Amino acid sequence: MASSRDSELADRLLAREDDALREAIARHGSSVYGIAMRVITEPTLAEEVAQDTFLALWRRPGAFDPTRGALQSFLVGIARNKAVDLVRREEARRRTREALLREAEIEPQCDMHALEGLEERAEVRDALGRLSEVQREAVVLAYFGGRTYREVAEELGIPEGTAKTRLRDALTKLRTLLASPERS
Amino acid sequence: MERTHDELKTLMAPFALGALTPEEERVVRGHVLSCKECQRDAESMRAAVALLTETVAPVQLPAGLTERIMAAARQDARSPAAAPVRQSMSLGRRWLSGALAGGLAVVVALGLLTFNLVRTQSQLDDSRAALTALVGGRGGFALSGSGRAVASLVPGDSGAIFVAAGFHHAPEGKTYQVWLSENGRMVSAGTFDGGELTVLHVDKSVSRANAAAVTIEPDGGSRAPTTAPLIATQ
Repeated sequence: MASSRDSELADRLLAREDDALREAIARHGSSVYGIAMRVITEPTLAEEVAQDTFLALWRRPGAFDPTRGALQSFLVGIARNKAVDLVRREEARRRTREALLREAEIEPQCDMHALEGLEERAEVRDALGRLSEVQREAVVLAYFGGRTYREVAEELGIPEGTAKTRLRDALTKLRTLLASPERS
Repeated sequence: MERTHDELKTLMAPFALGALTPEEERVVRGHVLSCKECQRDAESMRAAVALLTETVAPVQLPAGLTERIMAAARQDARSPAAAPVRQSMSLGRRWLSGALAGGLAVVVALGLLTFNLVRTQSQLDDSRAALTALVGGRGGFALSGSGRAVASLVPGDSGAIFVAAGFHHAPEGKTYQVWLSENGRMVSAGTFDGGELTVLHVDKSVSRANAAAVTIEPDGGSRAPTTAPLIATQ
């Protein structure tokens, strides 16, 4: 569920206040750029993705519905899809399975960086770590690697049905962790 | 190929993760709009994916990017979104006299583009992409499905303008109904009977909607969609 800060920002975006766009970039720009870099790694393309993401918010603020989730998730989701579109168009930009999985294991550099929500993120990373290895592998390939479930199956040498089941089980597991009392 | 509910149900996790081909995604999205069970499932999967988005480590924005985005947004507000359309539509330009308000000109241009879309089937996908980009730039929606029918919905001076093309006349006792999805609720935006080109004034703002669809309903329309969408926001 979105915070009241998100709702207030959404209202200002609907009222076409450009300060609201600036604030959205200040708050969520590094997450948006972070996911773009994670998917394509090429800074110029990642910048393009970040720019397109915020322009999409500016052009259609109504697409963000504060009752359905946080603005950060909404924006990161858009950026992920835009980055994946680029990767899918150019096969050569695809990241290898090894690189994607390695990155999913690296601990966040949490020195004195006063980034909002860092603790929560570390906890969520831990959540990803609590998936079984095969579940994590499937989810990371699909979400961060931009593979379709068929490509996941092919790359892992498993039947399509198994790939679908692994993805579903992984999301169901994440959902139970999300609902667990230590998060609230 | 028509897919069954049971088949589509197994695709909710890949759907939420964006791990479908664009064609499959169109089919699943259409099904989710009309199936309560799959809608709930997709919503629950989507919440788990939202959790995944939180695992991404932030990376500091490159210097100057914020200002470049702000400049692009300002540019966007100034330039009429119809500019690229006018170039490819000399006929439209001729009778769009200066007497027409800018907003109306955009709507007429969009109407022509929507209409032309169904004439150039060989390039249907490209044209759909163009329409999506164009109406997206106006804060509107482009609707399409697996057939020829397409539509666009753009904010007008008051409410919105709906333009549809490629629909057969609705069969006896039936009508087409336009829906806006607001906070997961489907709200009627009017009915129409099809034919070569339909232009409909919608007495509702689209700024709070996050998707749109067209279904076929009994004459007079329904309170909520009773059939799967023929076309929807992709």
